[in-house]
Amino acid sequence: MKSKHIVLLVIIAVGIAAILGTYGDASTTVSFEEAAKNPDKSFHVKTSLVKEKGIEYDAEVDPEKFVFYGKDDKGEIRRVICLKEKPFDFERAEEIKLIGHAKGSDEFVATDFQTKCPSKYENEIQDI
Amino acid sequence: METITFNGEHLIPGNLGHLFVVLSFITALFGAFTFALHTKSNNPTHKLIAKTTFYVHFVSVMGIIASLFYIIYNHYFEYQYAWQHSSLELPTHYMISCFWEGQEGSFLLWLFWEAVLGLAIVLKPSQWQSPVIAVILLSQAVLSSMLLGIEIPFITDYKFGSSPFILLREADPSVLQLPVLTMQGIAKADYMQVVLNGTGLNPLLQNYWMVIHPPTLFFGFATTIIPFAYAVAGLWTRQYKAWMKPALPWALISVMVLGAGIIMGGVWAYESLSFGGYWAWDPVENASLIPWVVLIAGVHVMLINRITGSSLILSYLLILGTFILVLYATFLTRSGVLGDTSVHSFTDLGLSRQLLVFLMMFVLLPVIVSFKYDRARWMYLATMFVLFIINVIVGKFIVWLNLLFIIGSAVAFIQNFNMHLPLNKKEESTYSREFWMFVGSLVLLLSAIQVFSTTSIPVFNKITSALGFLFEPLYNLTNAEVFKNMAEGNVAQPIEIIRHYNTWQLPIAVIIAFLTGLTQFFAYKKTSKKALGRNLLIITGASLVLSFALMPLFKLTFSDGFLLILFLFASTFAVTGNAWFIYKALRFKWKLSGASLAHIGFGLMMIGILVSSAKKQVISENRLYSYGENFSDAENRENILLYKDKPFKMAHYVVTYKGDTTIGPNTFYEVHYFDTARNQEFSLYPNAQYNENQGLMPNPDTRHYLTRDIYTHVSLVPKSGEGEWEEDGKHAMSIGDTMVINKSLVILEGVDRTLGDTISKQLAGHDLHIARVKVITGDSSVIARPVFGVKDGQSYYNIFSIAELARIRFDYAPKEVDGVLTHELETDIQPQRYIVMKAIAFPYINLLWTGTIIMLLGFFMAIRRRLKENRK
Repeated sequence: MKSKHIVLLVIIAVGIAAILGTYGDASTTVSFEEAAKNPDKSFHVKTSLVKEKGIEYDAEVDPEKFVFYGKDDKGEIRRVICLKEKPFDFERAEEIKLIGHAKGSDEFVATDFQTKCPSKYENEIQDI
Repeated sequence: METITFNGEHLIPGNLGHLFVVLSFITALFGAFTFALHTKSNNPTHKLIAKTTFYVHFVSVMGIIASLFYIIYNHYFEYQYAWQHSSLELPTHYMISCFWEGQEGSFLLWLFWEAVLGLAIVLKPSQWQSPVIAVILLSQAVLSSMLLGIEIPFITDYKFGSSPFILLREADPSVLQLPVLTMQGIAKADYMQVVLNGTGLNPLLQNYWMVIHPPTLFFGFATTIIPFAYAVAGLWTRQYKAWMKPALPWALISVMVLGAGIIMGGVWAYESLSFGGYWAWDPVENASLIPWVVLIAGVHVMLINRITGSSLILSYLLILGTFILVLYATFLTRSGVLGDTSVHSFTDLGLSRQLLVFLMMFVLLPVIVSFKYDRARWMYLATMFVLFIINVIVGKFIVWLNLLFIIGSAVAFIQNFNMHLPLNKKEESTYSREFWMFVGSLVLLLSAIQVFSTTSIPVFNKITSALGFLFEPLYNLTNAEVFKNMAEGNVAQPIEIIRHYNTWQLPIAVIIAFLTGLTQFFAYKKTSKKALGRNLLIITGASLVLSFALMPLFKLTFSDGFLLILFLFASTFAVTGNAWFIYKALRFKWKLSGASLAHIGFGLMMIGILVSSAKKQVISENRLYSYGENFSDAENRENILLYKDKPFKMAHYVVTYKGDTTIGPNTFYEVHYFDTARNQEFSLYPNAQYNENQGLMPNPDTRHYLTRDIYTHVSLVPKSGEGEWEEDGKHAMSIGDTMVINKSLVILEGVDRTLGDTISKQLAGHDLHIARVKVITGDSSVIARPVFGVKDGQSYYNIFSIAELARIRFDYAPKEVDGVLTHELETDIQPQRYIVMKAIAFPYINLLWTGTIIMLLGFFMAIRRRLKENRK
């Protein structure tokens, strides 16, 4: 066997390992209810902001903690404690992807999150 | 349908622009066809027609750009594109940025660069011209089709392309129903009277890096088609090796420009985004990194083939793969498939199917041209057509069927290749440069595969959920959660994404860096072991000494992780190895030193990345708060709150928020730093731009020193203006009552009825109630004396009193409730102004930028060398 082929085989093996490694490290997108079944594990949860319930944030108490109510894809609502600074445009977010774990049956602790804001087009046409 | 003649619209530039789009689409298609015809026939008439068509195409592309720019420049907001991406206030020098805020504009940019590159090839006579331009024009046809915006008959919900010349009222007819129109009695035909301004350009794009980063990146993307086109031409005209010679300088140009574009994106992120860093492993960033890494591997394999004639199929796969990965990147970022995994991908414009067809077309093009016999080719094309029709009839991509077809195509490609050129069976020495270059290229490919697979999770989800019929039984069989997630398409990015990438990429980078330093000391084909040993000894010794000398400078120790120290050693090895090579082997012949110089730059970049990320210090790290929830959840606290004028010590800095200045839409927050270790002081001005449509957009500020950068970014800014009073409340109290207001203790000690000495004579004869309010703030206390007065027994007035330290303003009034006298204190408070900010020190980040510049210079020299060689 040529040395080149050995290299090729090793690389292919590691390449497959890398792809499997992606799945090994990968997290799962779940609902609040499923996250609550395994509170020690972190998950991704897709939520939207329940605007009527407001956002609690007092930077003077803790600049890296704010609380809002999030609704997941199944319509479940949880009190979400975000342990990060509140982004400027958080109120406008139409979708918030939380990364964190459940706490008890009605709370969720998010250590990280990503927000998706509506494209400005949709939101501006009504009030030129 | 009623027809209205609308007033105040400028329809000519839009119609002209649209005409140019249609013209560029038709000429691209026809040009591709005629150039292909010429490739087969070699008939000069065909060439004349083809070339003329190309020139018309070129002019049309320029025409599209001119029309769109004319619309933006003249503020014709009746066009959706101008309305959505620009405004009256937009400075002229940012108008060009409007082109890349919208998807259509960025396709246009790509179209522009490809047209320019095509022109460069058309103007230079060569035997490769016809097949290469045919491939380029085919992609031009697809790109301009993205701008067509034509509805296809019979398929009502599907639009072919998205035109940048669409009118606002066509894009959204509700603009004609605006309540403002009826309120002001304006006829629909005159709706332009209320569309006075556009919504403006995203403030993040109003940055000088954003003026040059996208065009450079798109130029880089556009250049990748040329090596691809040469590779296809090589297969097509059966010149399986000759294509590499003219393609090599182009591939190097691609490496240089794409590399510059990617790094400029990093600089932009570092200078103006809030995540604090130059690279975040964001899918959009990764999508442009992957083809670059593959192309670098490809360039090395091409060099191997040039000298030794081996690794031909790998050259093809890597060069073809680069352009296909660029298309894949486009698909990822524009089809909406990334959805919420990326902060800066475009939303779907309804082009996702068209993009997928684009991708498929160019995946299959090399397969189509690779057939040896026309009969097989026709059969293949027929299968492809049937598959396409099935997809159209069903109305979506049938994943398993298409996947099967792609696998079949790959097998056919390899088979065809083998038929033309049996694999090289020659044994290669492990003591040869080509062997180690081959290893290095494959390791680079490995790096790309790893980034690709994690970035592609959303795409894999789509595929695995469509193949649920495979994964569900697997889950039932093994009970492994992962199969269930795959079947449901619920797989998400790893929680600790940075650590995930580092686990893979760090060892890979170590190997690459070692090979970068080592490989040049091997000669092609066979190396003298003696000379090799001596050289290796010298550079190993030099890099050992150098890395041990650098460790204390970088504050790196073995406790930072052995792999990290090994990485430092490997990167220094890359630098010293190539420096030694320039001295020893090339004798400072700069004309030949491009590659070595690029390698030195790469080594320096690696050192810069290593130090600035491993030793990045969040100096605003927060240990003050109670970590309410759970300590482990809150380990990365990176923000602190700074009260105005109140110095705060963080790391070895004393930081003070001094105040704000507003200039135009930007408010700058002055943050003063005193470096107690170096006895230096400086101020940083992170800012937030207010934008009507997007609210506040923060922008960091960075202090650059030779050996470190201090980065500062505001996360929360004060709400109101300086010194404004906010209503606090009315408090009914009895004498002796105590309460807490604005963090101070407030005690109503009593109410006096007689004048003290201080209250002036004007109040003599008035009926006065003077409250005595003790305010205790921290260690100090003060008496506030608000006055309630009655003049002539009927008109009442208040004189307020302020407790300054406590920031409380008191008004007092006696109140009789049910015959009982109570006291009412009305308080206003002046909230203390504060900002919440993040500060990070990046040590030795300048090594990264210096390395980048040296690397780009190296690429430039290598391009010159290869171009000169080709001229001979």
